[in-house]
Amino acid sequence: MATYIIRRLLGLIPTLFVITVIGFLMMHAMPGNAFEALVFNPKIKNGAALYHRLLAQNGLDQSLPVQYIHWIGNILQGNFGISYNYQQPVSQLIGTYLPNTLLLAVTAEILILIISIPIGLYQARKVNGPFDVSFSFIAVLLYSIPGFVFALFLLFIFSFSLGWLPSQGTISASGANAGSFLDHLQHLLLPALALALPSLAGYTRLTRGYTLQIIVADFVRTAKAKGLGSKRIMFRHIFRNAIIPLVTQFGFDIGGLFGGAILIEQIFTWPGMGELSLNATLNRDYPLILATTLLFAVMVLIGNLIADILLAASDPRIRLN
Amino acid sequence: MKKRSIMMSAAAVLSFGSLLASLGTAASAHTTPKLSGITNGGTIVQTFSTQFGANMIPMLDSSVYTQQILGYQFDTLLSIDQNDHLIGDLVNKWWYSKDRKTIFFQLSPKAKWSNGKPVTIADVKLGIDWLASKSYNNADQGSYGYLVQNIVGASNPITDGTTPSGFKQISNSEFSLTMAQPDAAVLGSMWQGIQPLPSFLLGKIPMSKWKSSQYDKFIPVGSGAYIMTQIIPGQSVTMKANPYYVMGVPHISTNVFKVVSPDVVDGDLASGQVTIAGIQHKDYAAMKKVPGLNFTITPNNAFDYLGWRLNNAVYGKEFSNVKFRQAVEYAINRPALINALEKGFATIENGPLPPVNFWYNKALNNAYAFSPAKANQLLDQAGFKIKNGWRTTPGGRPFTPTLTITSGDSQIATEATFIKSFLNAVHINLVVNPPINFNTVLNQLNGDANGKQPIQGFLLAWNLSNDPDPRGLWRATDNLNITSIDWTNTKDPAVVLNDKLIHEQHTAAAFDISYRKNILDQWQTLVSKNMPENFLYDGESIMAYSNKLHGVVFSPYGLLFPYRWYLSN
Amino acid sequence: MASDVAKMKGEITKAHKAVRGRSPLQLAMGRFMRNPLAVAGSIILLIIIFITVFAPLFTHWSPTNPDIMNTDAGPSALHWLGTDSNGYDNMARVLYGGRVDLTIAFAASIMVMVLGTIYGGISGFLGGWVDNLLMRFVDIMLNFPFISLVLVLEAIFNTSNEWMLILVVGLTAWPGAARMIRGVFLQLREQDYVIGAVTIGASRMRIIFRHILPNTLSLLTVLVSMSVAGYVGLDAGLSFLGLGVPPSVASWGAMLNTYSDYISLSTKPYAWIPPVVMIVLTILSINFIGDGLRDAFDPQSRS
Repeated sequence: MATYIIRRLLGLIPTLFVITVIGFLMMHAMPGNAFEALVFNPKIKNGAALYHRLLAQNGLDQSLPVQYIHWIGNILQGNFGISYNYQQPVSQLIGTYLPNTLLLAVTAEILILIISIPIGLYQARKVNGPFDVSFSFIAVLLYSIPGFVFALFLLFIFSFSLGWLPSQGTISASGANAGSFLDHLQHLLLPALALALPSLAGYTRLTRGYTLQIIVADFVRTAKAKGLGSKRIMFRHIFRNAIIPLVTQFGFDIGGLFGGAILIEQIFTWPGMGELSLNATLNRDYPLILATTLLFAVMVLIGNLIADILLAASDPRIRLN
Repeated sequence: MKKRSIMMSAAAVLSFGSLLASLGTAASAHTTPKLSGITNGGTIVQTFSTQFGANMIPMLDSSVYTQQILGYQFDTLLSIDQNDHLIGDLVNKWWYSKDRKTIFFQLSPKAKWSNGKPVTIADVKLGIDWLASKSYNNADQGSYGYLVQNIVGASNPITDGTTPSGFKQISNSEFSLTMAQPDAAVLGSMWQGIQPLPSFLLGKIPMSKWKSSQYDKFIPVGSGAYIMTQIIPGQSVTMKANPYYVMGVPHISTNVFKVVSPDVVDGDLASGQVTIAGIQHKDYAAMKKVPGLNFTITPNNAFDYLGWRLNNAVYGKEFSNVKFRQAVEYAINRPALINALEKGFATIENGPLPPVNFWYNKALNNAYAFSPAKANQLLDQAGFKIKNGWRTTPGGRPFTPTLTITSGDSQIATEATFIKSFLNAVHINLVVNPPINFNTVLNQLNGDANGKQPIQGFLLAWNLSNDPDPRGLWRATDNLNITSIDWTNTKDPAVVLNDKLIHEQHTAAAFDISYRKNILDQWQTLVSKNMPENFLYDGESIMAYSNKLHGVVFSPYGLLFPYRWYLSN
Repeated sequence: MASDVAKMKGEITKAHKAVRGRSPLQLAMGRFMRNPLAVAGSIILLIIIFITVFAPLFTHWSPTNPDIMNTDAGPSALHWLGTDSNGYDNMARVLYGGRVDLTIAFAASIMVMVLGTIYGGISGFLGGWVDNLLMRFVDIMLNFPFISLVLVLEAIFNTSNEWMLILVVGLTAWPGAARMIRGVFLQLREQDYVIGAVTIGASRMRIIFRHILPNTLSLLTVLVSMSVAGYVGLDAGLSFLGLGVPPSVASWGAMLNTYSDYISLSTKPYAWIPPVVMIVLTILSINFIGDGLRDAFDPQSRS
């Protein structure tokens, strides 16, 4: 297993290379650049001259391969450059935005797992019972409605009508308990729920579907014939097998979570990676685009690797080599 | 995001009414009126619809929201009131030399930093040096260098820490600024906006290091009404009242700026989480039913327009025909457009200045009343013949001009659809292109000097400053006129006259208000007649605010004098 | 089909004979038709498609020509569901709206089903270096910059419309599904019955199609209905960000986007409930159909 992990980690390098090259080319294929608007600023005396000076200053007048090699060289020295748009070091920006994204994503993911797996298992045990049927319906309802509409519903009920929870931000701007644990929790609850609900429904469906498929497998029948308790069968025999596709999905999601949830972030003023990378793209903020692409790629790849390893761990027969 | 697609500021001048009136007089008449029943204290929450920039060194960040935050924290030499008049601020007295080339300023004895230290001439000098410096203009891409460019010796960026020769210290409280040529626009559009900077804080740091210093993240002192106490990046800025504020201690003790998505701002207003915010026109009728809110509608100092690329390879010749542009202006039913798009909250605009502007030429009020008959007549005269229901070019080619719009704003797409239907009614087969990203449009506008650009017609909007100085926008030599007109044809007598009038409105003679008004009236009539772009309308903004908030001064130039605002119980 | 069903209800022996004479596909169809939810789902989906395709029969308003004089109108005899702030008739937009949403969802589902299954299946079944190579490509595709792609295509074609979005969706929808299907294949190919089939010399194709693929149906159903759910809202999400299809293109997602603010949610239910109902019904019916298919092809899974 150890050699497998090491080999896979080494294998990430060429993949990352290809991803950054594609990202780099796509970025330059987008028309315009971060400084072009200066030409149109009536207050700047000689916009065109400033524009060309800035291009040269940032190395944008060089050929693409040279620019790319320059960027790689800087990355290897730990220098991600300075964002054109935010006018701040990229590493600093990510340091500010990534923790917000992580907090939200991890909370949402915990909510998803602790709610969906028990519900899915219970549904499968009492299949076609009233709970199963009604929750299946609710699940469809949950994931048919786009996440941002959900977010607005949640805000409408819990913030605007009931006034229980704040509508925006990660902590209060002022007030006695600003920055306390409770304050964080109050701000976190609505966006995490809005993010979790649609996926929660999906995970429930997956758990239910897989459990149902395995419940009828021979080894479960054997277990029953041996006279094992139904709880033991459920957890030792069924759950272990049913969890495999969930694990794959989970590993897959880990990477996605780092990309942030742009719409939820905007609605709740939750400054995270989604907004950062979108703004970078819209403003042609090259250093930031490349850094977010790289970070996102690393996370997706590691997520996939974790999924593969978990997959092997949950079923020793799966040979990855 | 439901925001307007383009907002660029045109250059501005001052209002001379106020300038002449207050020559040699103290502006102390503008201090806080003493009203009974005003309570002090409390917190208000204002909103930004997108994130603010993080650079807190004054004039550095390009974000308008950061400018607003720093506008609360750093006062300027002079301010502008709701009537577009120049009033005293950190400077309480100012006067001109005889040749009109030098302006003398006297700092107010009440001008103090929030730590109680007086604002000194050294602080003013630092503010000017900063705007004139190479670090600011070149390395840091600051875009407010124009504020000091008219000072002798500062026309090009100068070495960090040196002072332009046009700046002279006269005494401990007086200084003067000198320009090479008298310019009637210089005080109101430029020098008025200079912010003195705390030399005791920033003076010891080389300017090239300002941006990487701790003060770029958080600047603890200021000369304005409110001083920042906490910044949560990307979310909010909390500011406390300045106890040493030059205009008097503000009534409200805490001011919070929060980033709030436009989709939830109505709910925040209704639930009291936000005190004051702009709302969308379509929501006004429903919002009026929400208890506890008041509303104020103010015209914007801005306008929407329909532009044509006069150097376009396909139809440039047709667009260059003034009768075509006049016909388009007659063909568009603007009252209907205003009702549909702005729910009636807008005014028709026929020239380059919005009707709210002090310098607006009222003779233009009904210059282009909706008349398809006139439009048809003009097009017939210009030789656009009708064949199979659609007009051809005077040369007989099919005439199918396109309209480019930016994405991200459903209103602009609807506006395009309406314009299409109005032009179709006069047999112009206008085609609306699907919306494209704003940066792509900029790129296409910028890269099309060869005339092969894909853009023919386009919809944009201009945000103006309080004064009408057309320089930067409307002269044949202005680099910006590719987004408005293409008056590069300097043989055109209309263009020659345009440039002449623009020059005259800021010469020494223009210090006389009626002279300048007369020149600007002529200029507006000329532009209106030539329609280098099709002016559409001047929108209004609707502010909703808690009925506990009082004293806000609403104006086309923003919400003024926050130190006078107060909260009732 | 009705007569088939009648036959099934006949005597057991008779039925046995009839069943024995028919292919597994026919058997599955029979089972599908006896599943009331699956049948209801199919009927609902057909009705939705019918309404969408023949929208002009139900309203004389065009979804793309705004009524300038009546913007933001409430429900009236003229506009049954009112108009939006741009003057578009909401009724027309609900009826026509499915065209874009269903096409995008359909394109995404096809890609998920076909490419995802084939690609994931090959990767998972063969394993080894083939799997490794194929999965590296999936890794790359998972990181494909979606928004950049939209902006680049927009600049190349100097336009942004629903077809471009479909193209982009087609390019980017399948890798996630392929990964998941691969996971299932990896697991299933080690099951006793598959090893058994290999031992008796069954061909690879037969193993894949007879033994493994039917077992992925449950997952595939969830994947397809979730991707439909995801992509119905996609254009709404993109317009929220200032990208995607122009506002003149009617879609349920765009309608939701228009009305997703505090005031509209609280005062204009007539405008936002219809598109929500259409989206939910579509996804619900796809779910029922998917469940029905799974039960039909894998009768064991019904308990």
